[in-house]
Amino acid sequence: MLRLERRSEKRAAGFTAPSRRIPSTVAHICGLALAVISPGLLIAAIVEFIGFGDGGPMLLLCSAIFAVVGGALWFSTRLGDLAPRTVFAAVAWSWVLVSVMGALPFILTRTFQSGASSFWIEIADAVFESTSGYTATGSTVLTTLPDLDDPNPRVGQGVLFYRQLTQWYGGMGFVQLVVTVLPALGRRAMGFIGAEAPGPTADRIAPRAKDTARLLWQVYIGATLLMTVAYTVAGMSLYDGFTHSLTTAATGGFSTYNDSLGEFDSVPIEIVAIVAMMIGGTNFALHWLFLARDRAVYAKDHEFRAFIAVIVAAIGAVTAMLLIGGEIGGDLGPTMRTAVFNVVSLGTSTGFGNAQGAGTAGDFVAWGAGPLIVLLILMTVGGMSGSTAGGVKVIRIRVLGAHVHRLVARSRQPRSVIPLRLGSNIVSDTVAHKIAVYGMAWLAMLVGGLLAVTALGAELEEALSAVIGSLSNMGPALGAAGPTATFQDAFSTPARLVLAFLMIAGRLELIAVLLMFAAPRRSLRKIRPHKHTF
Amino acid sequence: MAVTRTAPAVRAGTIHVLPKPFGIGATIGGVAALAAAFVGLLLDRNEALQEMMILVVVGAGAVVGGRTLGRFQERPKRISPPMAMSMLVAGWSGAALVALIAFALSGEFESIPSAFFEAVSATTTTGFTTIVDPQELTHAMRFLRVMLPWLCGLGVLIAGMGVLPVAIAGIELSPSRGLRRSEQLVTSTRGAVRNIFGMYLLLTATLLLGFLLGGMGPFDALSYALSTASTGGMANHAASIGHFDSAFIDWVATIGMVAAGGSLVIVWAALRGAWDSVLHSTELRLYGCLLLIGFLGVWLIGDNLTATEAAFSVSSMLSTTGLRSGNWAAGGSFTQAILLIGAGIGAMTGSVGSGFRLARVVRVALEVRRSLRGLLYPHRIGVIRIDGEATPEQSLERTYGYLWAHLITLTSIAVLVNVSSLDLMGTLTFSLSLISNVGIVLTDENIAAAVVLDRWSQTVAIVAMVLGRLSIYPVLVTIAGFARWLGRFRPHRSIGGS
Repeated sequence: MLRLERRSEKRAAGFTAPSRRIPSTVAHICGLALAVISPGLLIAAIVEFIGFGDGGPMLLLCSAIFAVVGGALWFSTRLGDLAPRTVFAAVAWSWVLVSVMGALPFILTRTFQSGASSFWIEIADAVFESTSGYTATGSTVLTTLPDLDDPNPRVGQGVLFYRQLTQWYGGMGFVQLVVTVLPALGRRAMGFIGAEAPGPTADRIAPRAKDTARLLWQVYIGATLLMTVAYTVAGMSLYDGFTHSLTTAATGGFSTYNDSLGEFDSVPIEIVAIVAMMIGGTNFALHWLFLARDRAVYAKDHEFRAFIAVIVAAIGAVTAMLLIGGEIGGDLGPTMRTAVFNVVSLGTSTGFGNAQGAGTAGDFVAWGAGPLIVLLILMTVGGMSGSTAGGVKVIRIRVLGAHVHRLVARSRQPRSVIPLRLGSNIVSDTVAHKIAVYGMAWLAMLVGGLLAVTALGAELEEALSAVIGSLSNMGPALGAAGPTATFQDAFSTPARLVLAFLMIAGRLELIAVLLMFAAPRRSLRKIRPHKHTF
Repeated sequence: MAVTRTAPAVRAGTIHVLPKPFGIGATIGGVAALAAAFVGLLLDRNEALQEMMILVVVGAGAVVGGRTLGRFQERPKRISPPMAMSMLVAGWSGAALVALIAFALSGEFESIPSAFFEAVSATTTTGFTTIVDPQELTHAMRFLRVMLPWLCGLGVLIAGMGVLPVAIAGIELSPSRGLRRSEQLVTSTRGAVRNIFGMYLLLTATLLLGFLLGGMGPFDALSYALSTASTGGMANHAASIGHFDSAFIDWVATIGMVAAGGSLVIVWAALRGAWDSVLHSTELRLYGCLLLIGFLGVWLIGDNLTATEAAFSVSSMLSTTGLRSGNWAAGGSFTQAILLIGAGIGAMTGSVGSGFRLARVVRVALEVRRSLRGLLYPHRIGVIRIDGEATPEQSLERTYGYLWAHLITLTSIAVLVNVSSLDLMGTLTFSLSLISNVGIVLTDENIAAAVVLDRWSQTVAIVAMVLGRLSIYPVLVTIAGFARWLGRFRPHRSIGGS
């Protein structure tokens, strides 16, 4: 069996002429990742042409560039070393490359052009927007988003469509998409999925990793289409419904309007968004199991129960605090509407807003310290593992809590052997250790990011919330970078680039980013001539 | 997996060993009250005669009561870790109770909860206060506010480095074996108490001399010396040490705070000339690096702060003292971030300072590095070595557990505490300051130690300060054990009843 797998790997790697292809896993995966973006850009170009925008030819050109560069990298290389360090490096570098190259459509269509800023700042803004999109974060520097009744929007519909599409690609992860395309990764495929998957371990819902990836993408596409229908029924146009469903399924939070979902000021649309965000924040493997096998799978899953408990508790706390503080006039109805929407939006790391301008009900930066702390906690916790949501993930928080409980029990009974339990399940010490290390790395990134962003001129409140938001792929921050503002005014250009790096780190759950230089360094060491002993 | 059950933590035996530590704590509080009464007699004379009488009665009662309590208890044959933790909590409770009685009866505080807040703040060496201008208090009361942290700090040092390491082998953050063995700081409980007390007194005396040379009056010099050496941060003036507006005094306090935040084991080793052990201490090197980087960062990148103010602020926050000179909140967000992170990290193990502690930071950093290496080289077996010694895995696990417990506590405090006058960052810094026992809150481009709290927030703050000072676990273990002990009195359900 193993020999067969190896043979198939070799066959895949040497598709035409094995000797001529360069063995480089990193370049091979990067090439394929770029290539899978190309069709999306082609669709965006078509949308731009249909909407009579100016950016159609440039989007078409970008599609071609992605196809050519990606194809060239793909066909000139083959899978080489598949050691864990190479897998981590391949995944991390493919995300960096796609995020940087993904800025090209924004640059060529001059989306961030403004009289005051230089071309380099325009490029930096485009890279920030692209990274925020592909990592499904949702932070934006685009200040020229249209209103619903804008007759002459500055940004074309195709460009906005591409912007929404970036989040959709990043939500489930394009490396996972690549795995479904690669002919034969064999048993190594799970390594790629695991390096990108949100959560401590990647769920396997089919015997073969490739099939797991394909099934998850099918559920993801199905959910997106379902959300499109729901949004349209609730009152959106087909274009708005589809573009918003792309970012809702991905829990990204980009909107095609300046006031996000607040632009519609519609309770049915907000209800659809709340349900859809919860679907996005739930493990997609659970969705598949629900559809295919077990109707009671949600009720049985302890992480899902904890996720719901966190959301319900946060809604209760925020509603109570807002009612006591009287920030939204003290009426239960509007307070409840605002609390539920914003808690779900931030608890699933989506980042949609329902404010209709600065200082209105949904503009949570105007709330008191209590609800803001709850929102910060939600931003940190995030959704479930295996979902498109960011954050530390509910399962990790539960394991860390269980860890503390076990240590207190051990302090009382030092010689006892107490397993780490989650409900009736026992968590292995290896997984618990991985989670602990992740938590420590997350904290280190938070501290480092906070120091870097404040050193680059940001205020403490904005910096803290933006660093947490970026690591959790959240979107809006607090203070001057809240839901009705952009990151343009609150952060300098270098600070935004630091935040963009943190977004990639957060999306890849830190470890891949921390190891991304290990494989290239090893390769360079191999190339470097050895010192002669004699 | 089978769960091996041993005896419950707080059983009858454990309860029986609590009176003596409680008595010792009460004696500490009593001594502080008597000392304050003596100072009042010298400086306040007839102005606060009633208050002095109260302090004498409370102090004498606490000393006599404390000593008497200890006599009723037999010396335990063996002190188990949960027992030691409960004893620590009992000891602190004794001191806090006496402090509460003294503050409440003095009539200087507007309510009993305010007096309780002040008592807990003093006995946990935090430094928060409900008094906006301490100059309104009598000399006796001001002295009590600084004497309590000094004595409780000494108690923490003796308990943490003297009694517990002798009683329990291999507690999580004991000094490295090399230092312990070669320098003979902790040979026996009596020896440890003598050595620790000697060094603590030396530091305080040096600070007293420095402050006197800087131009402070004897009372203020003694008060600030006690406050600095104990990292308590209680001040006699609303502007803290900034009141004197003297660079010399600032530098004396800076050096004092750095010394107070440093490990006494290392100071002991240095005094005995064992420089090899001192210079190889990873924790000390990290302490030095953080002080230097913090100072340079605040001085060079921050706005509006002089070198003296930068050095003062960094040492005040990293040692978790909380004394103030100048307004570092006006130094910009980078300064604020550095100082708040410093306060979160805290001082060295084996010092009076609080916070997460540098030894744990070292362990966490080395663990992350080991795990990343483990991912690169899966077959490699990594051992974490600190100061040349392999760190046991169980001890490392306790450190991670403590990290999560610390974060969970910090988050819970931030949610529960509700101060109407504070914005988001104010609430977060207040919570951090409580758990790290720093005693400084950030309010609208300003820093303060005086806070106006409602009853609920006062209660939360009191719990937070205690959890921070006693490193969370002892409190949790004591509560859990006490709950189990109470459960013994619950009527049993009959299984096969009639």
